[in-house]
Amino acid sequence: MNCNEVKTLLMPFHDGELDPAVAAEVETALSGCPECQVELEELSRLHTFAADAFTATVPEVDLSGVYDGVMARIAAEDAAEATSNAIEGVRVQREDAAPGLIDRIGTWFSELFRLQRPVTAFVAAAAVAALVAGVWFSGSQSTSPGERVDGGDPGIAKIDNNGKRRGREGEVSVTSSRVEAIADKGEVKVITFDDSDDEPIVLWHVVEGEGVSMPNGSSNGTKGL
Amino acid sequence: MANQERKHEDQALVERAVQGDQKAFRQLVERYQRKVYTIAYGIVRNPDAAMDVVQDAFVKVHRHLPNFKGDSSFYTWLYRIVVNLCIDRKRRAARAAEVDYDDALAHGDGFTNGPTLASTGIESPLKAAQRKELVEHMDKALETLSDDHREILLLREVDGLSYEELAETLDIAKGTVMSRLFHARKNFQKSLTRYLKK
Repeated sequence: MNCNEVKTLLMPFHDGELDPAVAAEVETALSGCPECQVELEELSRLHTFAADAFTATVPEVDLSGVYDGVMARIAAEDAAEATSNAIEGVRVQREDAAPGLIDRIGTWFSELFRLQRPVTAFVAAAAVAALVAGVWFSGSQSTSPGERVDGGDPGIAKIDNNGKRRGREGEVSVTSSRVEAIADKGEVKVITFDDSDDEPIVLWHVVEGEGVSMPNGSSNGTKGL
Repeated sequence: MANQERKHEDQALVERAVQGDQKAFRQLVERYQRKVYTIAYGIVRNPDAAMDVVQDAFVKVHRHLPNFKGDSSFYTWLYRIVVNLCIDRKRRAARAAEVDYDDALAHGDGFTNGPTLASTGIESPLKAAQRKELVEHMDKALETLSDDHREILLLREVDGLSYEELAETLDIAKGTVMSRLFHARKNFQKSLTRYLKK
């Protein structure tokens, strides 16, 4: 192996990347090539300088809180996702809501035809058509059963949700919940009930996109819906 | 700790962590947090950004651990996450141009052609009397390197990754590893001797 060949292999030789047989050849050739030996020494020195440079220039930082920080981040992200999912997936039905518009029209027509008053029914149908058009153009929205309620007047509503939710005292299986009040911007107060009895165990204060907080503002993250 | 032993220990911790053993996950974090910080700082060169990368990396590890098949070692997988996070953070537009390893050698670009570290008379930087000043010089020398060169130098010289592991971690061909490592060392040597001779 000549000097040029040795130089080509010097770096992988230094880094322990050569096949043992080739490394042995390089080693033998090195003993007869002072120039190659100097090059190898420089590579070795370079390794020391580089390793020292990186380790010596890293600032002294306290890393003892990394694990707790990571777990807190994961919990916060999970809670935010659960909140988002909960709000996305919540389907509420107002307990006190009157039947939907279509249901009411259907009932009314049935009643009219049952009483065999076709003329009255025709006039009524025209009136209903006008009414529906009025509703359409005014942009009003009805709150029919099963619809998500995003705003409007506070009222009592049920959440059709059997999902597991984390509770204050661990995980609680929520079989029924009540939306106590619905305010603007997706803010919803929900009373959840434990399986075992009908006592409300916690009052949630759900704010879409901002995690979950207790009414007194003392809790967030994992304790949310 | 021997690499093989480290790999086996990591694998055992990974398996326990995947089963939901938080203590095992904690051990993985504590085992690698310093190395991850060193790599992150070495690349992003900012203490706060490096700390963010550490947090992001372990959050990512926690999320994707069930998908980690163990085809590669845990630390190369982790280092790849860290390097990618650093790259994302820096949003580099273009990589430094590569010159082929053999071409460079053919042009006489060996490690004794030009200024050498031997000429500085410093054998061990950390033992040198003028340590503080030396650290400042080394810091400046590292700053002059491209991100690609800092990454590969860091992973090789500090963490001792093999060429194959470097190729896997940096997602480059093994031939590119040799070329990039050669030029990274060359540039660091040039830069360092320039600062040390001032």
